[in-house]
Amino acid sequence: MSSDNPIEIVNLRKEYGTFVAVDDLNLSIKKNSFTGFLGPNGAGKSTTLKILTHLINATSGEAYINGIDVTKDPKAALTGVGTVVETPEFYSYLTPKETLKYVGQIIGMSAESISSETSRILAKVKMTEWENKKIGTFSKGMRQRIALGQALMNNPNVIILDEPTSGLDPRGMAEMREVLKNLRNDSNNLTVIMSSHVLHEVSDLCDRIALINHGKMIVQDDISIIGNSDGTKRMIVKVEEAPNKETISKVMGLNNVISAERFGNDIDVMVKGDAGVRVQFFNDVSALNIGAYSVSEEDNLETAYLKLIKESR
Amino acid sequence: MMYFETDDLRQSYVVAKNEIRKFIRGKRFTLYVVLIAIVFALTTALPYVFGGNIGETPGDVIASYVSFVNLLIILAATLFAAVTIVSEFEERTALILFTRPIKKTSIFIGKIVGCIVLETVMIALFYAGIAVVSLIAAGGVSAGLLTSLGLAILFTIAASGIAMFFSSIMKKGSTSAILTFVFLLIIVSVISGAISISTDPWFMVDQASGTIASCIPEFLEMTREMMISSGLLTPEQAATLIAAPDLFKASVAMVAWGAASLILSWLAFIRREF
Repeated sequence: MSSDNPIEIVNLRKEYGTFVAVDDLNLSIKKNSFTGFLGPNGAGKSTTLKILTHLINATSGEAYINGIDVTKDPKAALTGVGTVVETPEFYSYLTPKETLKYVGQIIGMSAESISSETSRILAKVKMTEWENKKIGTFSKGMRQRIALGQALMNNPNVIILDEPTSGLDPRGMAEMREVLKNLRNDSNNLTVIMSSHVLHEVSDLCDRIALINHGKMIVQDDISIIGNSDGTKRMIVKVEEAPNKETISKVMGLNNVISAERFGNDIDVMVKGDAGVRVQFFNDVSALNIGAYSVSEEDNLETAYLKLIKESR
Repeated sequence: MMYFETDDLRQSYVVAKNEIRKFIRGKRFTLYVVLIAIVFALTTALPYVFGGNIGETPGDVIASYVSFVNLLIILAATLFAAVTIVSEFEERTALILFTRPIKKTSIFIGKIVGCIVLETVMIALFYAGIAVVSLIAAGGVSAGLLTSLGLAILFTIAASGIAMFFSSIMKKGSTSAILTFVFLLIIVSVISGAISISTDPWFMVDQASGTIASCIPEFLEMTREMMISSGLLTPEQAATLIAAPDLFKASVAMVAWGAASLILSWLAFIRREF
């Protein structure tokens, strides 16, 4: 296995009776990358990550972490790996400090390392204030930060995150994202794979994308390449009154516009071209006198995602 | 991976310690302690309340208490071992523990050891209480107490193994606990009753665990007197049917039940997926 790819999945397959959840999947996660693992519900993301974390067994294929096949030697493969799978629960009778100590003892850290790591990590996930309170009393957001904290014990070089912000309220999501962002910015030798349905979160955090559907790999590449694969940008034009056919056709007639359609009370426009083209589009829309008061560029990843998923059906 | 290394044992020890801490800090433990205290207090006080005494010889004193030990062990297995594995899945704590670099066998060993240690300590404390009462009331302690304790520990292992089996295959802790309790208290007795028509069911776990009390001669004597006075048995029948048990066979039966159920629950656990 390549030393540049701490995670390497080869022809991985998981069958539940006649249903194929993961269909001979191949995936390579580059060293020091923060990879968003995307796909619609039922695409096989969680199944893949559960095989990687030894929560379920593969039907066939290999899944290497740091060169060790987790399907053959899970204990060795998961050494040096931190995981947050779905929304884990903690032993409610333990405090964050005791939880991290327990995890540290399981992975064989010395008492001194556990003590110093615990303080460092609790500060990192902003839980120092609650370090001696029973986890049973914590909110979901706080628990999820503890979940990330336990994944960071002993400085892992690989972290596997399965929908780490799922089920959190907006504040919890924002707090978790901030912690993940700091983690990305502060770490030199860290490879992260993170499944998520929240595309703007993936855009914000990840530098690479792996997209799967029906258990098969659709595309894996740098986020900048996937987001701009055909140079098309999605623009949303907000107008004073709900757009009629005439308004839509006026927009459609502008230069570099690929498509224009009604999107609620707004107009959803696909524009092909660089930043200069988009400036021109803004000016052209303003000059149309259709009551436009806002033109915003939508997340490219979402556009690319929807297009790729549609093509893969 | 079938091989087991020193680090695997160390991890089992960490899991066992956590398991004991989990139970001690939980409501089930408080409930169990209260139940033991109630049984002990009532057994000690009621004879005096009704103008009698707990016994004049150490054997008599012990005989008053040991008949409850079976039930206390079944309760312990129901409250602790029956939920130890299933709760990891039901409460989603498995997502933390099972994704660490640790073999499932280490987790299994840690959990069963934690349960058995805790249950054994509780039963041993009950026996320590009997010894203290025996010393105060009868001026000594019968050697039969240690024999009874040894058999009680064997039954603790067997009952915990059976509880762990249900815990390994069930989806809910409550179902596992009910099944454990009903199986140990009712189902095995029904099966033993059916078997006894054609042969001696000494190998059944309920029959074997009966020796925890019947290994005390004074307990046997008390039972004979009760059966005769209630008219259920004649003195001759009582002498034949309520005889001193074969402790070796009973021990072998309990060890076999413990070993078989633990192997089955281990196999079920290591194959279980989240």
